[in-house]
Amino acid sequence: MRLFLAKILALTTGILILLLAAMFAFFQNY
Amino acid sequence: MSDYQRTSAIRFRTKGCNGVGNMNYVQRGFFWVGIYLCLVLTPLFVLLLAPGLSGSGFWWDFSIALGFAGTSMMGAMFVLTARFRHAAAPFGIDLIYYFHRWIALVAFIFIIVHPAILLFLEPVFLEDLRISVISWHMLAGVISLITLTILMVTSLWRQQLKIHYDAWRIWHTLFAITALGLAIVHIEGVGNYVSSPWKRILWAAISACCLILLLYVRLIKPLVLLRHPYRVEQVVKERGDAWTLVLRPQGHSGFTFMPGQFAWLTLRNSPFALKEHPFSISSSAMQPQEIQFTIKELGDFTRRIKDVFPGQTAYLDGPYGAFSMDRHPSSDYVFIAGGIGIAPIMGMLRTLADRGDSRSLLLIYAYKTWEGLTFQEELEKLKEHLHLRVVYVLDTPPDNWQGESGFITDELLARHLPVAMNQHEYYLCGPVVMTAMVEKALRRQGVPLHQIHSEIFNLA
Repeated sequence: MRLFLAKILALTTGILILLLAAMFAFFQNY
Repeated sequence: MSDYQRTSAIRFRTKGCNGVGNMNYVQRGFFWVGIYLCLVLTPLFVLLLAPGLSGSGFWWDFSIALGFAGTSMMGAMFVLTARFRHAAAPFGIDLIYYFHRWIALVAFIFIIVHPAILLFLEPVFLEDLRISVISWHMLAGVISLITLTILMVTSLWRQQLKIHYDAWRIWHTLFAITALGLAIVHIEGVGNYVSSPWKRILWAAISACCLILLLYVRLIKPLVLLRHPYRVEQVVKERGDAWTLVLRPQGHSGFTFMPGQFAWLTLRNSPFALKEHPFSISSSAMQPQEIQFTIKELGDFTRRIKDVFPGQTAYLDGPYGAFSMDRHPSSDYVFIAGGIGIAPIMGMLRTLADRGDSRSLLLIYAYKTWEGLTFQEELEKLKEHLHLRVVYVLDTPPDNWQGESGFITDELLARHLPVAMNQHEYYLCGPVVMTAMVEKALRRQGVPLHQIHSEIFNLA
């Protein structure tokens, strides 16, 4: 469970950062 | 008054270990996750709120953003591994270290993808990377990437590469500092997105924070430990190739801890040597003046525990860990231990005995052989002081064995778990595979997930 939780937290953070990076790229070229 | 109840008059000091404390841990958990996300996301928000140059195409800017994000995530690694007790308390430091492993992998992928996209879009950039023409800031970026790759390979496959843990820790730190330092040099050198003074200040502040953290972890913290030494009082041989070290604080009052917590132990070295290892405290939390660690001979460091002699100086960084019954008050407890995973559970049982606790306790203890069962005699003695039932599960039972054998299965749990299983808190400690299997079996038996607590003690 703890290993799974650590993976999920890391994955969620990664996806959040990826979305922000995409947002930045989108608005930079809007 | 019994040996176990003798010290129950000592006031036990722990924060947040009552019913209200549970709620506080959740709130504090969200607070620290928020702080971490702010740290990691701030550079991206700064890019978003105040874009620099006009757009150079979606994928170009996306790759730049990934580079920034990866670098800030690298910086945040220093925060994650700085062992801030208050920040680690809601999660347990084992979870933070595992998070560190996974988030480092995510950051590494971002950082690798950053030049990959740029080179895919503009293959001509490869020409600029030739050693004869490469600029200093690009060279910094390339070396940072190589360093980071070495860092990841040596961390993910340390055991396969047969790298000694102590040496790996030192090189891990040095490579991490080099990779981050050069990445910041690369960002400042390229300069496209950090042109305004306040953006430069932001990156300078990130660099300064990392430097301060580094000073705290590698200089200030070891200095504090150096001024709080411990003396090895006894080295006791236990069953099952295990040894118990009995330590006493020298010239200071030591620390109070919750039963089941652990500490980083430094032996034969100064705290500056980075040669410390995490071990569960197996002694009672009611006797903080005598801290015991029960250590099984498993690796390079633990095989030399038997060579430790009374009178030696030791240093302890602790307490850490969220694996404690004091965090989850309950009417009854079930403990499930595998091998040397008995150590923190023994700490909890001894504490309960010292407190004169009368709650119903069940211990399911899996081990290879009866002869090697660590704490065998003391567990029998504890039954006289606690309302404790012990179920031994042996891998290789003796010929006349009447008890349980094999793995801890659904059937075995069904035979021994209390009928009102939802009213108990469950504590699991043992090898990673066993812990995962038993956790699933408990879930199948209908135990709610939030009542199952485990600790993964394989942090190395």
